[in-house]
Amino acid sequence: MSQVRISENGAQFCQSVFDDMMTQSDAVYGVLISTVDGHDVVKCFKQDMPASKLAAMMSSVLALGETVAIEADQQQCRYVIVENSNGYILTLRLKEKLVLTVIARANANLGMLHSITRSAVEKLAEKLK
Amino acid sequence: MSEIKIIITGTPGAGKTTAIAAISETPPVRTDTATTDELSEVKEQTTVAMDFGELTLEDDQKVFLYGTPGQRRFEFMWKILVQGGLGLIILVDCTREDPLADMKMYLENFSDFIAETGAVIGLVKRDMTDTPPLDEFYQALNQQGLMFPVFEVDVREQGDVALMIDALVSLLEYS
Amino acid sequence: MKYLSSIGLSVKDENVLKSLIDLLGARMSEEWHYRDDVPADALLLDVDNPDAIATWKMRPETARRNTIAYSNSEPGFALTRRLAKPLRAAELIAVLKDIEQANDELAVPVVGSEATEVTTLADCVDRQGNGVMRLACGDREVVIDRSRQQFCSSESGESLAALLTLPLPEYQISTGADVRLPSEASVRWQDQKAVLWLVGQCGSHGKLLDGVDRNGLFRLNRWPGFGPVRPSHTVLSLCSLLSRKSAMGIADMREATGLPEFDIIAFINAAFLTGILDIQSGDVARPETGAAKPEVSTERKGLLAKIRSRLANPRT
Repeated sequence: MSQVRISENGAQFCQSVFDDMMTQSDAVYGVLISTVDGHDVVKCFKQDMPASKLAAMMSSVLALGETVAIEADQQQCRYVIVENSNGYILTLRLKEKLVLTVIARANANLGMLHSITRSAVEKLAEKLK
Repeated sequence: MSEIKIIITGTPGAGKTTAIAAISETPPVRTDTATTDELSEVKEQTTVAMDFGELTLEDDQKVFLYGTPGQRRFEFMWKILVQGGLGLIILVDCTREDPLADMKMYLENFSDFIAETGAVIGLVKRDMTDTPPLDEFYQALNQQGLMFPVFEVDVREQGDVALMIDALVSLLEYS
Repeated sequence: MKYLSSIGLSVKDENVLKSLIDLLGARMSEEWHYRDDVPADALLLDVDNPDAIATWKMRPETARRNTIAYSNSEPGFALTRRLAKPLRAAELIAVLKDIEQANDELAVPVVGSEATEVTTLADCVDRQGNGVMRLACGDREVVIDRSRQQFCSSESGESLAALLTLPLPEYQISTGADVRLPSEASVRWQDQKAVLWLVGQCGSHGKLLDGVDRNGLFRLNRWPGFGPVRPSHTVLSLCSLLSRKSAMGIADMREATGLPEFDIIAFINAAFLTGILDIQSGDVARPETGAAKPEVSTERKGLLAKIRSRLANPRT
C-alpha cells in the first residue's frame, strides 16, 4: 500500500474539485489521483472502472511520456493524452509524487479539458502537502 | 530485420535496471519514479513502465533488452513487453521474505511465454544469511515440471549478466 | 617422438603453438616437436581459413589423420578433435594426449579384464568415494576431502585445470590416513564441486567413468555452479540439451550438437562426479527425443550464434 495518505478534509477537498470539473464539463466522467509508482489515492468515477489497475497503468503511461520526451530532446512533458474513438484520457503530474488522470467522453472539447484540468491541478497542488 | 528482444523481470529491487545498465552499450532508458510505498525502505526509485538497453551484433543487428516493472500491479506491462521476445531472465532477490514463492509467481505469470521460449533464473544478494539453498530452487522448478538454469549472480557484473544471456541462448538452441 | 604440424595458422598463432610445444615437456608421455617437413602425428588446421581447408583437402588421407580443427566457433564440418581460439596449453595438452592414447589403443587392443583397471584421474577420484585424497605433481597439489565436501589446492583457475589434465601415472596419489594435510592456516578450503567438475572435464581423457553406463540415458537434475570460471559454449550446449524433459544417450547428444565424443564424455563425467546427473537405463523404451523438439531453423541458429559471439567480446 502507498504511504501517501490524504486526510479526510483533504479527500473532501479533492472531491469538491472533482465535482467542479464535472460541472464545468459534463463530458468528464472520471477523475483519479494516484501516486507516480501506481497506487490509487482518491477518485470520483461516474461509471465502474478498475481504479487500482488504472492507477498502475497511468503511472506507466506518464513515465513513458516523460521518457519519450527526453529521448526526443523535448522538455517538461505537460500531459499525456490518449485520444480514442469514444473519448479522451488525459494525465499529468500533480506535484512531485502524484498523478492526476481525467477521463472524458468524445464530446469534450479538448481545449476546455486542458483548461479545466490545469486549473484543478493548481488548486489541488496548493492544498495538498 | 526483425526485432530481437530479451526480457528481464523479477522482484522489485532485485536489480533489473542495474543488470541492463551493466551490459547495455547505450545508457539505459529508464522510467523510474519515486517509491511511495513500503519499498521506499529498500530503494528510492522504482521502474513503472520499462527499462531499455541494447547490444549490437556483428552485422549491426540489435538485441533489445527490456526490464519490466517488478510489482504485480504492473502485470499489464509484463504482457506488453514479452510480445515477440526471445526469452526471459527472472531475477530473484534472496533477501526477501519468501524468494521461492517469488520465483514461482513470476514463472506462473510468464508461463505461456516461457513455454514457447525459455527462462534463466538469477539469484541475487545470496551473500546474506538464511536464504534457501540452491537445491530448493531446483526442487521448486521440478515441481512445476520445469528445468531451467539457476545461477547465483551479481548483476553489477557484466560477466554475470552475459552468462545469464549466454545460457538463455543455449537453452533456446538446444533444450 | 611425435610431430605436430599446422595449416593456415596466423604467424602469431603459429609462434604461440611452437612455444607451447616446446613447453610441453614432462606433461606428455611422449616427446612432441613442431615440424613441417616430416609426416605429422597430429595436424592443427585453422578451419576459419578457407585456403587452409582447400590445402588440407589436397593432402592424402594418411596425412590428414589426427587433424585438430582450430576455430573461433563451431567448425562447419565434422572433425572429432577441436580446439577453440585462442590456443590454451591445457586444451592443447588434452587433445594431444587423446591422440597419444588413441594411437596406443590401436597398438595394444584393450582386452576385457583390463577395462576395469583405473586409467584416468576421473575414475581414480570417482572410486575414492568418501575419503581424503591428495594428488601431487612436483610442488603442485590438490587435496580433496569428500567427506567434508571440500578441496584445497596450490593452484587455481587455468593452472588448476592444467594440473588435472595430466595422465594418471604422473601424479603421486595418497589417500586416507596417508594424506599429509596442508596446515589449516595456509590453505583456503572451497566447495569440492568446483574441483570435481574440473576432474571430469580435464581428467577424463575420452574415457567414460566405470560407474556410468555407456548405453544409459542422461538428464541433469540441476545445472552446475560455474563459480568464477566462465563456462564454454560446449558446456552450456550440453547443459541445455540435458535439461530436456526426456533423457538422452551419448549418440543422441553427438547428433544434436555435432560435438566430439571426447567433449561429451568429459561433460558426462563432470556432471556425474558433481552429483547433478540422473542416469536411466538405456534398456527401457527410448523416448522419442527427436519428435518432441522441433528443429531450430538455420536462420535462428545463426542469430543465436551472433548473440553468443557478441557476449564473448564485451565492449567497454
